[in-house]
Amino acid sequence: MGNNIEDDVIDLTSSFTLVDQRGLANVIIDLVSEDSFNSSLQTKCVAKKHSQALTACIEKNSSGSQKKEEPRILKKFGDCPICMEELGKCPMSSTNCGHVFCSNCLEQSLKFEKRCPTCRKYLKGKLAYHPLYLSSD
Amino acid sequence: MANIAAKRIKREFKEVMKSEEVAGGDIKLELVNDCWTELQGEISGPPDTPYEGGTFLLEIKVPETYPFNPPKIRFMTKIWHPNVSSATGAICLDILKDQWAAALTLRTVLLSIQALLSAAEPNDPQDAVVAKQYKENHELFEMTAKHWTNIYAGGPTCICEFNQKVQRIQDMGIDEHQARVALSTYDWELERATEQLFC
Repeated sequence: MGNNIEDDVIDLTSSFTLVDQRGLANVIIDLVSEDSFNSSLQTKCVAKKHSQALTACIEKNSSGSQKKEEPRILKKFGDCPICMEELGKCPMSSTNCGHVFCSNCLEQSLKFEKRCPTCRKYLKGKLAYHPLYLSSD
Repeated sequence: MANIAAKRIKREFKEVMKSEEVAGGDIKLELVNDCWTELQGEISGPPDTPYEGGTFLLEIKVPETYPFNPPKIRFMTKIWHPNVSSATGAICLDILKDQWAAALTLRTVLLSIQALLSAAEPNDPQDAVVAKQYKENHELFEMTAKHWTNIYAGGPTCICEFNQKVQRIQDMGIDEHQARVALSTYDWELERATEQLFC
């Protein structure tokens, strides 16, 4: 049931029009007042099903966003590609090509070769890398 | 061994063990000693290459300055490939030399070596004899590589004609591997190979 209206756009902010493709007359349903649902049994069922689905969708979204706000997930930045320890435990730096390492690891690497340890971009001078500061809670 | 080198190898080792490639049997990594300076790698010959079905062992030596300098890696399993020395197993691969980057890992290096088996670079050879055969007599190169894979890496394709020729030279008192190298070098021409061995 209701398959035939899948492609219809329904504006829930005001009254809307349901087009029944099997030849029933267009029916205007006002979601605010229950009265207009009486016009057709079939249309009523479809509209109800839709509003239920919409509620379910809203609930799902809100529970999803709650999960994302867990602090542990937000604090993970991955590992330093050089020492493979979790980033953020030690001071961090970013190269001017945007690759992030522990500051110590990056400085040690640049003593061996003046290139980015990830993409091998040539790094020279004061602007080659800079510290990264994260705001704490 | 420097602290960072040992620490990183330990982390890498754990991660390789959890990787898809280990689960799928593409690569393997084993410890050779307790101080994390030497490991043994293993790669399977890629499909649709003469190395298919073979298992190739690699010696991995981790320098004190790892990961700022690359690991030293060579084939322990004998292999017929333009970018690997058929005598020493030395590998010609840019990331093991001047193109090394500290963010590369043993896992990515093993996968790169495996990729090298699928895509040889005959214009930047490690073994000039193999590279010449690769370019000038490609069909024979493929047969020779398959034969070496069968003999040394447990590959499935037995080439009886080659085995018989090796046996003929062995019967003259020559070591089996030496006979195989001479025959492979001289495009499996018995006469030229024998001539070279006895001159």
